Amino acid sequence: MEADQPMRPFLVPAIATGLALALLAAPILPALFPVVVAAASVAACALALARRPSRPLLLVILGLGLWLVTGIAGAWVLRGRPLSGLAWVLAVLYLLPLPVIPWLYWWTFEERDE
Amino acid sequence: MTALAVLLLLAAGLAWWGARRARDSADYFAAGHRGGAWLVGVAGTAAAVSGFTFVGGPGLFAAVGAGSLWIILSAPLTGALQCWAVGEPVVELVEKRRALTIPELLAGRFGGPTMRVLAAAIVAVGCVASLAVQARAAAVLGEEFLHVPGATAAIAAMLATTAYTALGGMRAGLVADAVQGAVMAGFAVLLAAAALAAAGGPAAAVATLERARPELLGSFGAVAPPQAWAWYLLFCLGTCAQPHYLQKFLFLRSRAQLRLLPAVLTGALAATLAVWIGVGLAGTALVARGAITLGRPDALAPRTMSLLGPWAVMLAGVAVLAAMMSTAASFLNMAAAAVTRDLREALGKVPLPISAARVATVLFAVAATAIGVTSERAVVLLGLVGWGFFTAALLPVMTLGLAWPRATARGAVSAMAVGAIADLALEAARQHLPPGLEPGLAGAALGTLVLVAMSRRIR
Repeated sequence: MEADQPMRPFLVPAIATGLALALLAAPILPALFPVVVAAASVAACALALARRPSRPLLLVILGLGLWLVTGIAGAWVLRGRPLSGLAWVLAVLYLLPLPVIPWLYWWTFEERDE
Repeated sequence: MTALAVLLLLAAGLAWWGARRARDSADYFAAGHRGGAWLVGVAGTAAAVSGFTFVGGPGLFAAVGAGSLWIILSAPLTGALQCWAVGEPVVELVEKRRALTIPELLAGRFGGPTMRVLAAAIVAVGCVASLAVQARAAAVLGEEFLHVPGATAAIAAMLATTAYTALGGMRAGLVADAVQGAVMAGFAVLLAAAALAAAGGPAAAVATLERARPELLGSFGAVAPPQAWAWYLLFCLGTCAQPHYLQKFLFLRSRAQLRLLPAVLTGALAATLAVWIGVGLAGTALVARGAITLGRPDALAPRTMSLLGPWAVMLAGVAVLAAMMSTAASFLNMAAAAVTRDLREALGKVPLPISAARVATVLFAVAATAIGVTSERAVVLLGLVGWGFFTAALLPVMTLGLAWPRATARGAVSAMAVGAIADLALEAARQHLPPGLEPGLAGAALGTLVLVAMSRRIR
């Protein structure tokens, strides 16, 4: 998808259908779960791209996806380590993005001519 | 008792103020569309946070440790997510159609009375169930924190909330929610800091748990990873489908207010959630050291507050009541709007006047308090109709439905019905479900499939 072109109409229902099927399958195939969590969270944010596509917003959405994949993968790798597992989850998935994500929204928000 | 008397006096003053300002339906149901980002953000967080954050959250940490944190780990994302996924389209629809309620907004997007009737029914049923649970929680926590009879605490909290909500609608409710949100956030940070200080600081608390209860630490604590991931997703995406979250977008005075809203929502929520992490971690460490004894996990917060002293018990009691009242105010107003406005208009009749909405607000409050105080079994059953129910019923239409121009009314109605029924059926069989199969998420997934299939079929 080009960043400044509206999202193709078939993409939104196609992605939603794929995610819904994956979400139903994830409890049976737990390996799917981390992917579904990251993909569904990012896809919900990406709904804004369908209305107001822009390169900064696309970059932010991709960045959010990278952060979520890294955070979830790190949590899985450190699941057996009491201290570093807890520290990873609190630092990477919670504290670090707290000030960043609202600022990213601010940065990508587009004022509209009234 | 003094705290409850002060509460009733403040509510009476606010009710008088609100009654003079709520002149029409827009004032009463949508705060006149006059809210700014700060007011709406703090009030929105107050309405979103219930007593569970102050009591159930720390208790869950005592039971399953770090695994409980997956319920709140999406907090940094949800403010922006709500605005990206639903806030922007909702505010744009409100600017076009001046909608006052979520069912009205959905009917405006999809057309047809069936959509509005079903959405109003889902909102009314979910609101009454949630109100009964709030009343029950007020009774239990009033006994724990304020040391007054449970029924007295529940009636006083609901009476105060009903006074300003019935008379002033959301003109008064928005101001009350914002004050309550600020109180909750401030007290939560204070109580978390005091609890951690009593445990010797965060490092000492973690060191205690590493020696005594290492299974509570790590990335997932004592929770199976699929369950933790399901919680993350349910409480992340679910924020886009809770009527009391969505209602705040109706209050904004312009689209430009959205720019700052995620920062306010995230800041207020993070401050309030400090109590979950701080009291959960410190209290569990104090239990491991033998400084506190627990009969059940939910007693962790009350016992920790008792250890800190009477001032902490009082602050926690006020914060818990503020959390419950702000949530209850939104539910009361939405339930009243559903029966006096949405159902009437959907059936081709003129909406009832504000005076009827005031009566409906009182009736809903009386019914919910009566159920919450008298029937524990009814509360358990009604507890099924909560976060997951709204997620299952409303997430597909609020996200995909608003973003996909080809989504049809029939598809949206079917999605709401299938999602709600699937959630209730799966909730009834929850004990037999595998870890990670959350009824709310499964219902939303089925609803999404139905929305796409029906919309394509009709075309």
